[in-house]
Amino acid sequence: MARKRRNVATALALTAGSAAAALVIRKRQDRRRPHVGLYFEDGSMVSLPESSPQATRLLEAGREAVATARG
Amino acid sequence: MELDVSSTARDALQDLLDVSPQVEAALVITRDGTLLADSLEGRTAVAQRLAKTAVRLLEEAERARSELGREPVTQCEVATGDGHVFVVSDEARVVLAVTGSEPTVGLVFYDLKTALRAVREAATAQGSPSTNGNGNGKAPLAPNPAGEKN
Repeated sequence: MARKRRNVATALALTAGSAAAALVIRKRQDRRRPHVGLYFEDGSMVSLPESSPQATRLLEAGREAVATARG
Repeated sequence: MELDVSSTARDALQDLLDVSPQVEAALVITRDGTLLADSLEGRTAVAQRLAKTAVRLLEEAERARSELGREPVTQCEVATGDGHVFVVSDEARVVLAVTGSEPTVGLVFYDLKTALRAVREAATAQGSPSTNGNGNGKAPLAPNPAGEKN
């Protein structure tokens, strides 16, 4: 009985660990994905996806800045 | 007088690089793109190109703000996939930094604002324009499109 409980606990821990790892990986991938963050005067922030026209233009300038800095 | 501001800007950038190893390159410019200080170690042409790009980023941020119908932009972060570009400005000056692909965004913004505040305080002490009407030094990232006083 005790062994069965331990097995269930192990399975639950593994599941939770996998979910947490997946979440971390997903967040890391999201962070690496091209995007633009605009922070407004009222303290709010908008994250523009790469596909938005505003982000497209800012990303073009951003890529130029990164390339120039790394020259 | 701007020479003293440049000197403070150089010190502020050095402090920024000391406390923020994530920053690969940084510069301080006036809002019209005049270079005050940079971390590019004598690569003046590169710094000038980066200054021009910073002005372009300001303009594009203002255009985006206008299209989105939002209030003024005070900070901007562009994540390109292999690097990040951060821009923070006050009424008179702009700080831009380039980092790697996984920076601690909040920390970088904090450090940039600290650098900008140091330059602003030096300029204020010397009587250069540095604060807006409410005296808190905050200003839109891009110049006011209506041409009003910032």
